[in-house]
Formats: sequence, C-alpha cells, structure tokens
Amino acid sequence: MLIHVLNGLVYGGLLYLVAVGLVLIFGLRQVVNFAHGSLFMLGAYVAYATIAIAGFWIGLLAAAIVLALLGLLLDRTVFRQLQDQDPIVTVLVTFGLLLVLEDFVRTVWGRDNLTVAVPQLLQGTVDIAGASFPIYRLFVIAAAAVIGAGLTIWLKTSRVGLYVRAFAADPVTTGMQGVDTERVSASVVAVGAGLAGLSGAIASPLLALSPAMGGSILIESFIVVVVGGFGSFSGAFVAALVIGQLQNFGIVFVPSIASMVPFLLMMAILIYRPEGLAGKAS
Amino acid sequence: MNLRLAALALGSLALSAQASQAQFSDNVLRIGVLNDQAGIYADMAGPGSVVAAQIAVDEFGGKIGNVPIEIIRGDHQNKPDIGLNIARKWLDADGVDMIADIPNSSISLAISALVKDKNKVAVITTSNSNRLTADSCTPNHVHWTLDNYSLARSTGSAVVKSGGKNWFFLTADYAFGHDMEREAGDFVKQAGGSVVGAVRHPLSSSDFSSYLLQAQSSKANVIALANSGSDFTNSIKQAAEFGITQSGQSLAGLAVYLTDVKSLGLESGKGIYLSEPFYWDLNDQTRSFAKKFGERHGGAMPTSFQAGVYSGVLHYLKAVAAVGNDTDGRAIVAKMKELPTEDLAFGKGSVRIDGRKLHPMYLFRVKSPAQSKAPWDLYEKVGETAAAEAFKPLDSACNLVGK
Repeated sequence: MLIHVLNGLVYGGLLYLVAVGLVLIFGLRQVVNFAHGSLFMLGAYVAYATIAIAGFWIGLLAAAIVLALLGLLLDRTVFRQLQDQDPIVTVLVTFGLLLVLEDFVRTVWGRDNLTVAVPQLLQGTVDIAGASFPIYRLFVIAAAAVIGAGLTIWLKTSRVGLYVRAFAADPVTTGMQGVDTERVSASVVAVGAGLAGLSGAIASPLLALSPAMGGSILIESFIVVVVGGFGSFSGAFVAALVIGQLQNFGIVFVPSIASMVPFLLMMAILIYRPEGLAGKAS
Repeated sequence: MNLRLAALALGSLALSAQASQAQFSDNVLRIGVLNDQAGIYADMAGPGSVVAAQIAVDEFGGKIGNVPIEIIRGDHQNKPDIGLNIARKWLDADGVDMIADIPNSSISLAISALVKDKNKVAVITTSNSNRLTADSCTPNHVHWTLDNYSLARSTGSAVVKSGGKNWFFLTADYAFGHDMEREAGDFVKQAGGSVVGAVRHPLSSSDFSSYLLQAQSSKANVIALANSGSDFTNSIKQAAEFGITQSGQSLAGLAVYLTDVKSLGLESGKGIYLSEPFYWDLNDQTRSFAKKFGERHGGAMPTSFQAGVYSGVLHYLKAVAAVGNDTDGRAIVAKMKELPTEDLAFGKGSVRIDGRKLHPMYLFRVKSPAQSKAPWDLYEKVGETAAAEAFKPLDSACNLVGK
C-alpha cells in the first residue's frame, strides 16, 4: 500500500512541476499555454542528447537552461503578443506551437522511442515495507519536493516573487506602482518553461521518449490547474498530489475506469466549486 | 481507360512479335518496394527492405534471360491514400510488375485488392493482419514473414512448454491489444498453461508502475505485454526499474521485433521472450545473408521483415522465370504456390493455396549484456514451432480455399 502511495507521489510530483509552469505563464501573461507539454517533451530530448556526451546531472541542468532560454524567446515573440488577444486565439497559436515543436523533434531525433538509462548512482531498488522500490523514483519525489519548496520560498520572500503574486492578482495596478512588468513576466515565463524542461529531463529515465510524450502529461496538468484553481500555486500543489494518488489508486481498485477518474474529479470541481480548490469565488 | 488498354494490348502484341522467347512488358521487370521510409516502421523495414530486395535480385543474376530487373522504392508515410496513389501510378504508368513489403495493414489490404483488379502481384512481407489469408485473400498476393496468429501461437505455446505456466496480461486497451490477449491466452490454455489475470492500460500511457505491481503481486510466471511502441518500451523500462525479472517472473512481448530490442537496449530488455520467424544468427545461411545485408546497410543486421522481402522477391523471380512473362500476375502467383521455396534466410519452405508462406517460428529470449558479444548479438533461441503448426489452418473465409 505504501508503495502505491509513493508511486502516486512520483507522478504527482512530475505533474506539479509541469502544472506550476502553466500557472506561472497564465498568471503573468493570461495565456493558456497548450505548448507546455511539448516543452516537457523537448526537455527530455535535450537531456537525452546532453546525457550522451556529458552525463546525467549536466543533462538535467542543460534541459532546464535550454528550455528557460526558449521560454524567454517564446515570451518575447509569442506570449507577449497574445496577452491581450481573445482566448481562442491563444489556444490556436499555442496549439500550433505544440505541433511545430513536435515536428521539430521528429525531424531531429526521429520517431523511434528513445530511452535514457537511470544514472549509476541511483540504480537499484530499496526495500520499503516488504516491497522493492526503485531508488530513482525516490529521487524524483525528493527533487519535486525540493524544487516545489524552493519555488514557494522564492515567491513568498523575494521581491520578484512579490511582484509575481501582485501581478497575478491585478496586473494594471501592479504596473501603475512602477513595476517593470515586461521584465518580470519574461523572467517568470522563463522559469515556467525551464521547470517544464527540468521535469521532462527528470522523467526521461522513467519514460520512453517520443515526440508525442508531452500530450498526456499536458492534459493531466490542465486538470491539475483547473482543479487547483487557475492561477493558484498552492492549489496546483494540492491538486497535483491528489491527482497523482487518484490515478494510482484508480488503477489498483477500479482499473477499467482509472483513466476517467481525474476527469470525473475535474467535472465535479467545475460543477460544485468552479473557482477550484484554492481559488476565491469571484 | 479502354483506349489505354487497347494501346497496351497493341504494344504487347508488337513486343511479342519482336521477342519470341518471353513476353515482358516494356522489356524490364520492375519491382516496387513500397513502405514507410522515415516513420515508425522505417527501421524494421524502410530503406533496409530495398537493400534486401536488391540482394535477392543480385542473387538471381540481375536479369531473367536478357530482361533486366529493376527495383524502385516508394514512401507511403503510413497514409493509405498516399500508398494507394503511389501503387496506382506504379502499375498504370511506371511499368511496375510487383509491389513488395507494404507495412501497415490498412495499406496492404487496399493494395491486395488493387493488384487483383490490375492482375499484378503483391508480395506482402511486413503486414501482420490475419485477414490477408482469410476474407481478404486474393489470387494475386502472397503473405510472407508472419501474422498476428503466428506471433500469438508461437509465444503462447512455446513459453508454456519452456516452463512459463501461469500468465498475466498487461494489455493496451484497444482492438489490437484485446485480440493479442485473447489469441495468446487461448494458446496458453491449449498448451496446458493458465491465465491468472489481466489488466488493461489506456493507449499511450506514461506511468505503468501500478499495473506492473499488480502483475507482480499476481505471482504469475509470465507477464505478457500485449502492447507495442512507446507503451511497450515504457512497460519494459519500468519493469526493469522495479526489478520484476530479478524476482523470478519472465516478461513476454507479443509484438516485439529486433529493432525494438536494439533501441531498448539489453540492460532493460534482458530476459524478454519474443517470437520471430528469422534471426540473423540462426545458422550459417542466415549469417551469410546477414553479412551481405550488413555490408550494404551500414552494418545493421536484417529484421525478419527485411529477410521476408529478400525471400519473397527471390521466390517471385523464380516464378516469373518459370512462367516466362511478367504480365499475368495470377499465373505468377499460382506458380509461386506450386514451386517450393528455398533461400538463405528461411531455408526450405512453401506457399500455401491461400497465399500464406510457411516456415517455422522461433521463440527467443533477449540476452543479458554479459551474454552479448557483439552489438547485434541480442537473442538466444529457446524454442521452435514447426512450419505446419506455426500458422493458422486454412480459413474457409478465403475463397481460394476448398475449390
């Protein structure tokens, strides 16, 4: 049983890292970024390419940095232009971006399912409550916890974090107070994209790499964001953990409808608490 | 259309008046290798299939009498409309006499109907659909290599014989997965084994840990994976992570081939059971074919499907030479069924009345990194199903049967 809880934490942790990037970009740019799943996918591929020449840890770092830079570029060229547009335009453009990135990866790395080996240091299993559990999965849980905690501290204590929270609450007033919103937004989008890349890199030893791998995590991340309340960091955290557990226990107890469970939760939230778990009713 | 036919008839009349010994349309025998040149099937067939076809042509001497043999290639990109357009153009305008390879069942089924209309030939080597020798059989195509029945049959019964009695299925939740689970499960029971459980996962899942833990706690000897592509790779990788094979359970892949194992790597793939009709390292003949293939294809070893292209093309050439023309596809296919087959890849074999090529199926186990001595040293042979039992009995749904 404990093993299932841990597996839920692994998946919940990855979902949180992806979902929090969505929340950041939505909070600052009011853009629902459908291309976010492909940033996760691209992060895994960048890690794959770097790990082959420079080792696992450099690979993680490279994925985060490359994707953060790509985030800056996208903010400048795409998201900034989209922020005052009709939501349907942002959906179309970011979805188009997803297709472009998938085809880019297909062209560079091909369609085969590539694999990344678990780093030497984290190979093997440990015995937990009588069952063996992979060490690498414990690392994923720890990494998600550390990154999540770091992000929370940054948002709660740093000046930029203050701006971000203020901006997410009321962009116009924040701008009138003299905050350079463009710079704050650009750096936050970079952080969001970098986190997606990092989580892709962290997930790469667990998953087969394919250009379509971003799709399923994107959908579940959106469920996390909706359930947590659009624009809420703590809501996304709670929702990611809940969905990670639901997903796993769904497979254990009701396998035939397991993939429906997160959607059922989302529907229930939209009907009974449309502002999300942590959102404020408007 | 009628005009063109008339012109063709006139042209062939003129030709036959000129050349007395044989009647070959435009004096070249053209073979079109139609497959997916860059997509998901490119490694298992793709450009390697063209190499394999060329090896068959060279082995045959490059010409029939004094008619040269030419190979052209087409990329159907896994899109039925594109595949069918290429095939039509080849048969109508480019003088292609036979189409080989054709991965992707929806395309191979469409092209088998097309060659029947035009009285040409299709040698289908990379498509797994059982229907090609059942309700969709035609007098103008033959089905080489393997099909879903033979995969399920070989893995299902041979693994039970080698001691894997209790099976648990991890199945992709769509028609293909269900079919494989049902067929393999039947063979397991026939061979005296039992199916202790199954769990279905959605197509393109990412986290298999909960499914694998259920498979593990089922205490089955064999966990059979009725899935493919990224689902297969994910489940194998994560099974390795949880150390499932170390604790004594075996994994069996129901639709896994050499290139899948190659890209998965032996560290994750070691110990998996799988079935194929060909492996490059089976005997001296297969090794000599593999050597020729590797020299022309960057050192890669041929897959079963590429070996099938070689074998099928070679047998087609023998039949054309025996018939003496390339214009009557039906007569050539009938001759292919009459002549026994023999080649380096599959040894001696035959083509059944319904177009099914018969040869043994082998059960392999993937080697561990320590056992493997070369980059393509991937399999160890652990079982064999004889040609007579490896394939589906004649199906009355095929109108060539029982006439």
